[in-house]
Amino acid sequence: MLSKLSILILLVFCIFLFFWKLDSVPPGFYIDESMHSYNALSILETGKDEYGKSYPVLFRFYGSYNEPLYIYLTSVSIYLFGDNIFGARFISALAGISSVFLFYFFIYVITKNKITSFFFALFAATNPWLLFYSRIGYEVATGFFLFFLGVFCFYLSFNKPKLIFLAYIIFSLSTYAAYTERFVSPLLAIVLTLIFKKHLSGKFNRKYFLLGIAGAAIIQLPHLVMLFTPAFFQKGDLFSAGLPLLVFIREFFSQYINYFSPEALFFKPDPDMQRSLPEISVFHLWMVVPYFIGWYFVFKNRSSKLSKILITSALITPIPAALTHDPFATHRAMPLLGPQLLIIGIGINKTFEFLKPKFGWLILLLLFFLSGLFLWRSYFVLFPGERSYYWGEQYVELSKIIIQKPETHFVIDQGRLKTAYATIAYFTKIDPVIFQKSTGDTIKNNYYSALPYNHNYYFANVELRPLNWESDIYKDQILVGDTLSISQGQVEEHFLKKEFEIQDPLGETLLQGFRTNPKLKCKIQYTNTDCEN
Amino acid sequence: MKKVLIFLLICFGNAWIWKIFEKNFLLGVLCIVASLSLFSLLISNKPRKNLLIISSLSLVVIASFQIKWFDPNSFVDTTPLEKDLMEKRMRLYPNPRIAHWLEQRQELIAFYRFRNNLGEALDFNYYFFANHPRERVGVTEHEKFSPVLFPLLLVGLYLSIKTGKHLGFYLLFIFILFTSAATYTNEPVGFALVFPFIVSLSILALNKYVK
Repeated sequence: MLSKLSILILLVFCIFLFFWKLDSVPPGFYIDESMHSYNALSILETGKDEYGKSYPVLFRFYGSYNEPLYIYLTSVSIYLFGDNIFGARFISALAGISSVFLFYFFIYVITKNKITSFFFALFAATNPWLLFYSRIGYEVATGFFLFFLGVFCFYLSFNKPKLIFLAYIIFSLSTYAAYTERFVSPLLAIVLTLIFKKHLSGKFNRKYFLLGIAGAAIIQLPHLVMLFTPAFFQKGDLFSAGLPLLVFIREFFSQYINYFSPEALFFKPDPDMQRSLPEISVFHLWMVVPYFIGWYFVFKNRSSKLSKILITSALITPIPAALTHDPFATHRAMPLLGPQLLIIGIGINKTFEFLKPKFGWLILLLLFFLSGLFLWRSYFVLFPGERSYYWGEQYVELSKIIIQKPETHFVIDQGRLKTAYATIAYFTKIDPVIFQKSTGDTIKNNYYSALPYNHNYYFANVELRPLNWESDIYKDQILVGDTLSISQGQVEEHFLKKEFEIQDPLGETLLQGFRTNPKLKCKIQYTNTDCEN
Repeated sequence: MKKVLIFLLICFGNAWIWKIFEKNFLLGVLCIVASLSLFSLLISNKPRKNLLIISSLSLVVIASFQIKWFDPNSFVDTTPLEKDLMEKRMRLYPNPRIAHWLEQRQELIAFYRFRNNLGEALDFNYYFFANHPRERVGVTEHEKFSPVLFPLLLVGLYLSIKTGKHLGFYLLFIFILFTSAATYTNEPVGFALVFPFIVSLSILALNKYVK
């Protein structure tokens, strides 16, 4: 049995690591976070999403039709902690901490070694991949936790058959948590069923298996209804479709192998600036050694139940991600973290068994501190300083300015810039009822028909749309954009006056706000009907 | 005869060896010699000192080529853009001393670059998919081996570790890995020191299963 002291130390450490500065790191508030949280707030206050649809099965957002579980859970955390960044990210942090304990119990069941299990749990807590997605306000960590819980229950069911039922229920539930799990969980459940059909069809196990399948099917009824709507496969354009067969096969395997390549796992971050940390990969550098050791022992014992589960889940989980154009998409391949980290844990345990106990202790302690140091550097120092633009910090700051000027009309350029409507709505505390009215009834009445998405929004004193230089300059308002949206030449030409500038921690200008001068513009250039007023 | 054919197929049936020959004929010959001696080392039942010596010598000579072409300043020199980034990062730390140690010390800069090279040397996609999907900016990538060889490499790796008799092989591999990362040469030669290991392990796998 694990000692109470180790569990307590781990819990305190995790609470600190996952909740400290949760409202400021990551910096800003990414659009996916704001869409989840604003819809959660809308559900909490009105029982409807941003379009006025009551308790949707899939949330439309900007046409992505995301899974609902995280949003409904976040409505609870917003109720408890308020409609702020902490309330929006709380559920993810909780899922992250739960995942750390899941890893702790899982590795202990495998190795029966208290020391390596405890250190492994610390390494899991400081794992960049898990920490990153556990501190953001959207569904990735929650989906991962449920998926991995399903895998753990399945593994435990060999000694406790009742858990077969729970495993299938949790697999089914996880499909409502995140888009990746919608495909990975059923696929893994089917493959594990085929591999272990003897175990599942055994005399004592059969009833739990059948109950589990029945329960999973009932849980999937809403999805089955959605299956025949355009909303279900809305992210299909991400896939590398339309390529000649040989090219497609080569493309798929190059993407797929990348998810196992040491460079992608231990040396280089995800190439996307929004979903990666500077100077650190998804696992710590030194883990490349136990990675190979772990894989060797897992493959050597490939006929064992554990190895079959680990190999199957490791091979299946990157498939949906590998089918897309994205090289090493950490959010789509999140389920891969489970088997890979466990395999690394097996490698760590084997190495520890090989070394003398005292020496092993020292090495594990040293590795923990080094991992912690480089994680602190990447996550708490460089990340908030260098990536605030990608996390929409400029819109959080803009929202504060908008709140201070309720009588002023703002036009925020969305011609090139990332969608910001949900961030503005969330932080300016727009009443969801008012927001729902602004989206009209067409989408609500054709909710799952995947109608084209309209990027333009108008609510309260805010418009989000591309700037129109033929008419916007003749109205008294503040135009907001970056240095490319509103150039110095345009400022001079249209007599604009700078009202504010929003910079990142490194001093780079992210957004600027300029007040128009319609009186002067009309005096000099009387060509617009607005001048008549 | 089977072994010879398999050796020739894998050793010469890839684009990389021809690019190495093009760059330097002697280097290409040394890669072939090293591949042959390493493969012989893998299939011998008893430890063979002479094979280990031949392998080590050929790898050391290949390494000397890499060291000759390598510019040590590339590990610590910083471009104006990198200096600018460094200065910006210094401002982000709560303590300037920690900032200096983690961002400005030459030892750490050299370590970060060594780390990047080591990652590249261990990248499966670098060898089998011309670094796709993470091609490097400003570098003309090319496929070293056919992707078909990748499963053979993994099987060969597993078979060689399973016997538990090839400590010398793996010690040599660790040596060349660190040397490659420390003395990375530009494409198309790249990590030529790794070539004999991929070839010998692939041949081992194919040799076991082809009757």
